[in-house]
Amino acid sequence: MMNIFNRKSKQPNYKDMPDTELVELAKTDQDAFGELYERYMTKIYNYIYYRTSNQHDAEDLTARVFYRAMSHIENYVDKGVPFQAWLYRIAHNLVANWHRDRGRRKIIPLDEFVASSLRSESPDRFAEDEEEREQLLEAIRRLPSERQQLLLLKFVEHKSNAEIGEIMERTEGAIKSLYHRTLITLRDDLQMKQLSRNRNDNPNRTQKKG
Amino acid sequence: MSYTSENRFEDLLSELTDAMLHDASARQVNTLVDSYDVAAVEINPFKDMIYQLQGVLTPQQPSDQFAKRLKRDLMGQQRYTFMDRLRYLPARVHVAAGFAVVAGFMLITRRRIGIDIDDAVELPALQQ
Repeated sequence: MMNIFNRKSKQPNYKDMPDTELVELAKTDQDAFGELYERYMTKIYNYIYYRTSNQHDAEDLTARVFYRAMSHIENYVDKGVPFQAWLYRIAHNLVANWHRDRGRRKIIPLDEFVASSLRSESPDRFAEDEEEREQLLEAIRRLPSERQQLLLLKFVEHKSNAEIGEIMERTEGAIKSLYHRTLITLRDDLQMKQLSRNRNDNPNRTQKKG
Repeated sequence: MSYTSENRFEDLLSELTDAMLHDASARQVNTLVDSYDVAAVEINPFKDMIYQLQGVLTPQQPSDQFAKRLKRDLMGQQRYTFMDRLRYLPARVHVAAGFAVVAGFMLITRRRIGIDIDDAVELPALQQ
């Protein structure tokens, strides 16, 4: 009898539930969907933020991901693809559409608030470091979308190769290989840019040498 | 499929990245590199690249206002029915409501019986 009085509510404890159970509940229970939202909103936002380079579009697309997930969750069947992979795929498709619709593969500077979050070191070193960081970000944005996705999942989300493989529908070995090639591409790209900058900075010296 | 030196290097890169992302010490990183027997010249440019990527690709926090507004908007999409809300009330509220209903029913019944008795008492007086 005391148990009945001590029991606070019949509402399930969503916090401890695994995704699979939550997803099944979320088909009819909005609070279960709310818990899934809490678990993945920031991750999806981060993923989209780095793919779009600005806060406004990241918020807009994040909202669209969750609206779409909510309206299609009834059709979601766990066939070995985890719920988070499903969410990332929605995000990936929306970002791809966003780039296609706006024709925005051009480089856009990151929001000021990100730049300010990076200003952690002394002011003297800041300008130099900031330039290097911006160059690296530009090089990342020049990569094909799947390589950008791989880097974001690894560095921002700290996902393992197996998890990235699930999201990107590839084997763990293929992810390792893609990662290796991505780093080589980035290194070569940065070296090329550095060379062309050096040529632009010292045109006379280059001509004399040539 | 044979395990080539390229596979080996890919494994090292993955492990090295995981170690650096999990704030491994310089000694741990060096031990890892040594275990793969790869020349420093070969791995160092990648190590620098991983370090730079780690510095640039930092997690961002969406604004609280956005997070709350979106959740509220999403949750407003589906509404609980009145019965759903009742169902999720705490058990003690259910028990108290049950007592209230029974007490109310008894009160009404008693009053009704009381009225009937009064009517029965008054009837003979009217007949006279």
